[in-house]
Amino acid sequence: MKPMTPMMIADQTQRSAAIDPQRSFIVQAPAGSGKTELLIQRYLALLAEVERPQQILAITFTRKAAAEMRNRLLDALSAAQQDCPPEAHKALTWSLASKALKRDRACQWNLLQNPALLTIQTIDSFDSSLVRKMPWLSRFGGLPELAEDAEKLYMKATDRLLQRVGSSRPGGEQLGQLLAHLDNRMNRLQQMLVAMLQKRDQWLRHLYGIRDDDPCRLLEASLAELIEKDLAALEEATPQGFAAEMLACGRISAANLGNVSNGANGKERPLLYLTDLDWMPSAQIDHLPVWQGLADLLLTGSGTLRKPRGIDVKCGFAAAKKDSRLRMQQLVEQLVAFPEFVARLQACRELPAAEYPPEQRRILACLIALLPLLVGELWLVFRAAGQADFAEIALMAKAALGSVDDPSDLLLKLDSRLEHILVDEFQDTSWLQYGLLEMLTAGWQSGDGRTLFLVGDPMQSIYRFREAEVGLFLKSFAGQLGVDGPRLEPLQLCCNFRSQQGLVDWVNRTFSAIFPAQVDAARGAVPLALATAVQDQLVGPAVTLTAFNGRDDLAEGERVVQCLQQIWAENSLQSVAILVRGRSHLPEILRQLRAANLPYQAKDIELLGAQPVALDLLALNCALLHRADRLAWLTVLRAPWCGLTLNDLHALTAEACGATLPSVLSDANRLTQLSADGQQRVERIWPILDKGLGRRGRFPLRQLLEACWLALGGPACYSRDGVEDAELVFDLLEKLQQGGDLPAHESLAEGLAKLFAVPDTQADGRLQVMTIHKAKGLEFDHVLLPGLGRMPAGNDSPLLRWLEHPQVGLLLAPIAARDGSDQDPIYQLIGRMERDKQDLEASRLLYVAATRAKQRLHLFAHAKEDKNAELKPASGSLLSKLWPLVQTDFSQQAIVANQCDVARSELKLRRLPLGWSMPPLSPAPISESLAPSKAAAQGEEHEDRLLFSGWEQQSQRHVGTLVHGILEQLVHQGSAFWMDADAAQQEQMLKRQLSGLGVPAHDLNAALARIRDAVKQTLASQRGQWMLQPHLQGACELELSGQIDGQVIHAVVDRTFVDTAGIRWVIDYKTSAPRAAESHATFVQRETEHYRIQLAGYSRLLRGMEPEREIRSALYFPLLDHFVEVADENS
Amino acid sequence: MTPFLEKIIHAAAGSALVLTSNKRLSRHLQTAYDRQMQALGKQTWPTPQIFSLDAWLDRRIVDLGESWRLLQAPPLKRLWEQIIEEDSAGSDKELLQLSATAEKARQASQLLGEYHLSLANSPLTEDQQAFQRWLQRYQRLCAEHNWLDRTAAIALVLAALQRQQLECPHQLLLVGFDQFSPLVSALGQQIKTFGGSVEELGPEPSSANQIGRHGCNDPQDEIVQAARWARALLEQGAAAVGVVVTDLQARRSQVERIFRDQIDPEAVLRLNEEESAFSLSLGSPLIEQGPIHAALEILAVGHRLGLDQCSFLLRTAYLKASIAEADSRALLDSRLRSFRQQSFRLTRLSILAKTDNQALVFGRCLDSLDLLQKSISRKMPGEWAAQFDATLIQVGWPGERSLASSEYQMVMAWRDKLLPALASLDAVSPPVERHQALSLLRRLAAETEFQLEAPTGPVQVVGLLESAGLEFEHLWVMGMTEDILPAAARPNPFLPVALQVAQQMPHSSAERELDFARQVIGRLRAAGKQSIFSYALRDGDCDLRPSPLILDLPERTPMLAEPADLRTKIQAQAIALSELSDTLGPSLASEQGTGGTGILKDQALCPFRAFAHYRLRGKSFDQAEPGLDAMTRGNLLHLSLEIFWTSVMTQVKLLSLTDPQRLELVNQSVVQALEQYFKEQPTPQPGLLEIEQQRLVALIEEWLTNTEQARASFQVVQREKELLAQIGPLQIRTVIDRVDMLDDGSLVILDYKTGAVRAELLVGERLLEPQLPIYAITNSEQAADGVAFAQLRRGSCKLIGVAREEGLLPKVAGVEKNNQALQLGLHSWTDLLAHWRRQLEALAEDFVAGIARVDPVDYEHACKFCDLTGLCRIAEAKMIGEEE
Ligand code: SF4
Repeated sequence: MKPMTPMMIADQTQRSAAIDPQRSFIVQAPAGSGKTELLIQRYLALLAEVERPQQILAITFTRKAAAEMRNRLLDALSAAQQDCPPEAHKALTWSLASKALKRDRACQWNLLQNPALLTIQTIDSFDSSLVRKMPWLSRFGGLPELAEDAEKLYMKATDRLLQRVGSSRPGGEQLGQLLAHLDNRMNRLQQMLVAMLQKRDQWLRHLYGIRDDDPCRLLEASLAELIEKDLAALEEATPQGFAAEMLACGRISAANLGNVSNGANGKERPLLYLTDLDWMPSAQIDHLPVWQGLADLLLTGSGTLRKPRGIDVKCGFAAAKKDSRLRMQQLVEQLVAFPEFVARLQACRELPAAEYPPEQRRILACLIALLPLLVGELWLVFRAAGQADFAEIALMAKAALGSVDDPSDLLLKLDSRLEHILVDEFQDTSWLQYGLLEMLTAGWQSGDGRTLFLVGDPMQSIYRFREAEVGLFLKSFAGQLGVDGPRLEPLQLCCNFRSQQGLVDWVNRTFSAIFPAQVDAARGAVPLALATAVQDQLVGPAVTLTAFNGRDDLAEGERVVQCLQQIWAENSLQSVAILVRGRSHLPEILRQLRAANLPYQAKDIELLGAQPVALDLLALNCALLHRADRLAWLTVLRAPWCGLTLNDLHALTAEACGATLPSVLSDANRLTQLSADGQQRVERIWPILDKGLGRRGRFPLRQLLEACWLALGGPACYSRDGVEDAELVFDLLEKLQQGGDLPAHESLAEGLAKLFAVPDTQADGRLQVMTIHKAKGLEFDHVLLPGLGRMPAGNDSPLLRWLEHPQVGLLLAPIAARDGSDQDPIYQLIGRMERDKQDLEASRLLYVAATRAKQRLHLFAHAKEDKNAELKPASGSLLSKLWPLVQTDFSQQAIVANQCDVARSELKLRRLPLGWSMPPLSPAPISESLAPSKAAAQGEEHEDRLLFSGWEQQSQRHVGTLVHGILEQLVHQGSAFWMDADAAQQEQMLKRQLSGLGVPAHDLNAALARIRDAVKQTLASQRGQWMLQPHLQGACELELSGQIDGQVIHAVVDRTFVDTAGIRWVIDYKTSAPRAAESHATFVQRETEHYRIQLAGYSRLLRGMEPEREIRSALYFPLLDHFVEVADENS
Repeated sequence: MTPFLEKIIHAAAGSALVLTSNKRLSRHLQTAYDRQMQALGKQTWPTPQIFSLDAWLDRRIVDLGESWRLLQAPPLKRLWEQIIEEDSAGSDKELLQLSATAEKARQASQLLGEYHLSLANSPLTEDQQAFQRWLQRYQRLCAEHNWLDRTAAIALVLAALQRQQLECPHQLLLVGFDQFSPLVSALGQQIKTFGGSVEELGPEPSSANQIGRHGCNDPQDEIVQAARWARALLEQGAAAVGVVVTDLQARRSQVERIFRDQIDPEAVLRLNEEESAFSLSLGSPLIEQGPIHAALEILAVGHRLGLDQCSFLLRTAYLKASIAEADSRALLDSRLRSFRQQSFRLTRLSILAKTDNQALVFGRCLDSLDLLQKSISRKMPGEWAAQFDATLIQVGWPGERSLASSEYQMVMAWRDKLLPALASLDAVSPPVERHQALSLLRRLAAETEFQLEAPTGPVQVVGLLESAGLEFEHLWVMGMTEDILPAAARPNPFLPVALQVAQQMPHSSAERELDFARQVIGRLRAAGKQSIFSYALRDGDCDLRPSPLILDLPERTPMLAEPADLRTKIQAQAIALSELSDTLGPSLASEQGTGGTGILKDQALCPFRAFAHYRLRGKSFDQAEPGLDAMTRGNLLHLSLEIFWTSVMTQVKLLSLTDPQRLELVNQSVVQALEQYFKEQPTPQPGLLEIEQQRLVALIEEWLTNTEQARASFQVVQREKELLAQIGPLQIRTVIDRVDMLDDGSLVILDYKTGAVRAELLVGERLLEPQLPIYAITNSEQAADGVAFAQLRRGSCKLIGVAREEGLLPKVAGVEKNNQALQLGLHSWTDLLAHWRRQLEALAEDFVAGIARVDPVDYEHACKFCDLTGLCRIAEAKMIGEEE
């Protein structure tokens, strides 16, 4: 390794500048350039300057990156408490950290104790924090739960909108038109609307501009602008000094053609626009036909300049008229020197007019009218679910932040002044995020103490599918964020600390050919920034290529395995990654890795829903939830824990097509039809399933399913990984379940389709398998790239195409009706632009893949022979990018593919052996003395049915509560407080109290009457007077504790006192009354029996206080004015 | 007994007032007190003055006679909601979370009250200005109605203490308070002014305590280790084991599950709710409980029910006759699914249920629900509560099954807590509609915590706040990661942050949180003799760090019991599964041998598939589709064409029509078809049929002009003719869409297809489209001379097939020019017919023989859209490489 002193690094100046806390920068940091360290250094430098650490905001792309940055920052701060390390680059970080710590001490931040002060977060969590601060402005009323499955909610919203079809509600008419346009296929319309909702953060803000009388005008204006941009480039490329000749030839040709024909297919030839023309077209949209006329004049259909032979009567130059033919010939010959002009002229032929055809216009108008309604429905759906998606949070956060122009308000909203913002992975910023940044930094000026620091690498921008727009980086690199933001100094790092010289050289060489030469923000074209290697060259080739003639997954797998074995034969500690563009490139390779016993970690590769364990659990779940889900029940019977043979399955079910399988299984007679083996198997599992069926709803679904699965012996049926996968299924179920059921029968299956199986937990991580996207930011000693010859997943024609253009705004076109008519040229134009961007990103994807390697890169690819037996890469494949560079090698060494099929072996029925039994289980011992005391004898199930006596009983209970209180007050305060009280106020008080306890308004009067009646009866009665009057040792609501038969009890005695005879009375008030048709006597009898034990307990407690005294207990019924003594039968 | 407890008991015995931060702690201290009295041999003793602060205040409010003015929590919250609703009326976006907003606003108002603050002189954000509006309205309403909120009521209590209207306690012990609100401070101050004593008590830190920290792999591992540690202690006979989970709310169910798995694995299988060795301090929301969820679903029934709603009602155990009618209801459910409709009218469902008395009781329940959903008037919440209760009784909630004690408790909570809470809204609410009442009820159910009443075992799992004031012999504190303690600041958004910071309100700033964290960790360190503070080192793909406040603790590896959970134990058995070749089912008895063409198609795609579909009758449920489903649309097309050709008959006639005449005829046919078809079928959403009519007319027009008119002259001789074909041992019942006779007398058979078809499927090694070949070889009167799919798709209408010779059908090659045929060595139409016959008979014989190999032609054609992936176990072969 070369010694790395700061002086010797090629880009030292840039790195030093980047730490300057006074200036704003945008930094291009290519692969391996040590970007994170730079960010940390800058963060530390900023810490030494700010008043409060919260004034710095760092935004990362993922939570993982945020955690990593925070951890490294804290590590650096802790390390600064020790001595300075000798390595130079560490020394810099150390000294910056020391300064930060000094500041920390001076300001008493206590960062190391309180790391929450460091604001390092993803843009999503930053948005969330904004929403939390602005519950009202954001209209969220607090941070909503993040929707686990936003698509479900989009579906719901579209469902609600689609209800309007055929109705007179707003949107009904438009929906009808769209439906007709889409062949009356409502599910397609739904897909289209769902797709619109998914991307609404892209079009929503444009929508506000569109809502006027002619909704298409704005779109057409964008389109016109776009076309004029192209025409301007064409005009620019038009060679000087040929205008007159071109026009002259054009006039000749047009004049001739005008006399002859109208073009082959009846359409007018563009050439005719040149008739009598004496001026050159310019970059105006209405000049487009003229340009196209010129193209028609000068170019062949395939876009090359006309050859002398091609200058014939068909383009207006009859053979007879030699002069004009010669003139034309000369013109064309001279134009050969201007290839760009030719290319652009050809391109202009495909440009559409900036006007939608009437049918498209109508459809667009419908969509534009519907979208606000759709968004409205989505809000209602979010509201009902109490959830929202990331996009909604981001949209509302931005809206809330941007609703005022006064910057002091912004300060107030953020509750602290943001002085410095750092953004990592800026190349993957979306429009929405960019807008938010613009808003946060509006008005920031150089030298005012506030800085912005953007880092990223446009060459590694590969998240277009997540709305990343690399053009934004390119735009900002020109020197400013937005129009009102801070000026940015562009910095370019070039040192590569990761890869050996050989690889760096290869990447430099290869990608200078693959990447476009010119920056173009609109297309997202990023040229290569050359890297300088810091690591020495290794001996041997840095890059190897294994080429196949024809696709042969089997052979490719073998080669991959060989390659791995070779790598580890040399050095068994090397880390290796197999990176692919799509998961579907992997099954054969994974199969061979397993066969060769090479453990790997494949994160997010294998679908959970395709694992046998998940399918079995899914069936078990459906079976438990639905007795008539025959397929699920059959599957449960066939699954490894039971494994019924086809014959047994048939015997069991064939004659019972109308019955549910549980009813069949519980029929002992039918079981006798099975084989002996089958009977035993069913007898083992049926009781378990039966129990599960019977307990449905009583437990969370997860618990129910898990219990049954364990009892069936589920874990014995799968590998260790399978059991881990089961855990994922259970976790998913826990999220989905609602009151012991699922929201829909297919919920679990749908959820499973979106999850991945766990990576091998035993593998040591030396070999990782993942997609290139997942590998971003990682590095490995060796990188294998198989499947480079494969085509990407074809994207069919979406129902709607749109594009957000950095300069002209939104472009939008729906698919044409499928009635054999032509595709809309605007739709096609957008498609072409999409493909162009996609193609540029594919190059970057290859760059990301190649730059993950530290030592060597291994490429695997196939090409196919064309008609001329020449090898050709599939278009769109990554190989096609490399092709010009590898073609020669490739053809020389290509291995011819083997076409033969692999013989498929028979699938055996795998099942638990009959003798399987549960291992012995042991509950943790609980010493006898500690065993929880049994709750009041409750059987396993409540046999005594709940008597639903209806609502009135509730009110009666509350009446009782209040009467107790009043009687107590009567004792303490005498009857005057009741008798003399203002009736109206008393009524209000009592009613309010009743209401507070839950007595409904319509019952209040009756309850009030009861209370008054009870009190009145008591006051009027002699007995009542006696109870209420002052006595010796009297008390109300006396709270006593004590033990009876070893059980602690707590009692509240309504009324107790010692009467003149020295007897202590224990009295309990009861405000109950006889049931309808119940006699007074029976009622009293019933109540006495009911409360006998309770009263006996009270007496005993009081006896504990006064062992010598005679104690008598009684019930008093104020409503009846009935007093009954209750004898303690035990004493 | 620890000195800490001793002190409290001693003081309580001396009639000191002991106030705790929560109910759980007061109960705990009560119990300790009772035990002590028992130990002293007392029979009876006055109940000590040990209360949670809230309970004590409640009593004093009652003493003051002010409780009637007090707004209870549900109406108070509702009042705030109403105020906010009023304020946002007319804005184009309703608040997404009204309830959460109301709660935050209520808290803000409470804070202002407790700290005696006003917003008057602070600069306010728009959010805070909104709150200020609400607050003013709230205060006005309270004054108008003479309402008190708790803060105000407590202020009255304090004032009464000061005036000596209430008796002031002479000695106050405060236990378990991590932070003192201004209220507690004021109370203490008051007591001191009257010469009383106030003391704050907590377990005392002791140098003898052994405390260590321990990092676990991830949050799940952390719980597993804690559970195994607890188990190990139980095995050693430990008496009181405490586990504190800092974020119990988020991890409750996981903790419960893992502890059950490790401590009492058998209980997992028993599926009984009973006492267990550990108890959790936190319950789950009432709304998640089975009976409650069911009650809410039942009450939510409207005049139209979604399929999932129907299905829930049909399968729930919590309706009348849910056991007796279980099977018939489940079957009705699958029948509903076969209609492929997304929703059903309540009345129609009721009729379906009562048909043949299948699910009679269910139908009657629906009728009761119909009555409820028809009550459209506005009522007070309390009235709704009564009506809901009555309806539930009518439909037999909570069902036929006997209730487990847990269910019993849930039902009691519904009646004693939930419905009264709804009724208590009468105090502030205007009359509401049914759906509003229901959503209020739902919200209350979501906010009500349900905790199973069960005695406490030796292992106690508690949350961070509930752990205050508890002491344990053995203590494990989990979740001690950097992001939890100290937490990030969370000031109330409705109050100016500067104000909150100045007053040191809870959560107002990071500094405040640090103080809090220090305080909590300090008392946790004192709470156990043997303690472990644990943290996860990773969560997903993020590295985590331990809280900086425990970094001074030494690392300590806890002693763990062997894993006792079933999963681990069963896996440890290392059972090898037995393997059996099972590819042949019983052969088909001869009298049963009829079916549709699907049998042979399945048999060709994958033998197992035919066996499972047609012998075992295993099929997945039909999926509902929005709008007109594909099958209906196909049927309509067939019918329209049949009607059209019945009147037109020949190409000559077709060509003789003028364009408008033809259009008119097509239109008539379509209209007639629609009428005819929907006589028996439930009509779909209005508007759809008009669009479908236009679509059909346009499609048929395109078909006629593009294809039919351009063919060689023909005459339609058969339309939609039923056919019973004998294929080997099997009779296949099928319908031929159309047979045309050409001028030379040759016959061609046409099969309408609305999807894209591929000619290769017709002639190949495996016969994947058996339908046309069946017609070809069995057409009774005369052998066919050509077969073709009539592909009716907008923009690509054409005939795709194979014929005796070229020219019979446009662009349909003769056998001698058909590449697939040539590859198979078939050179003539006769060859092809013989080939088809062989193929079809082989398939039929295989099917009859019961051949059921799992042997799909390939993933694309066979498995990708097959519903049997679970049953056939193809996933075990790992051949499914999901193509994207
Ligand atoms: S999934 Fe494939 S293998 Fe299984 S039954 Fe269906 S077609 Fe056959």
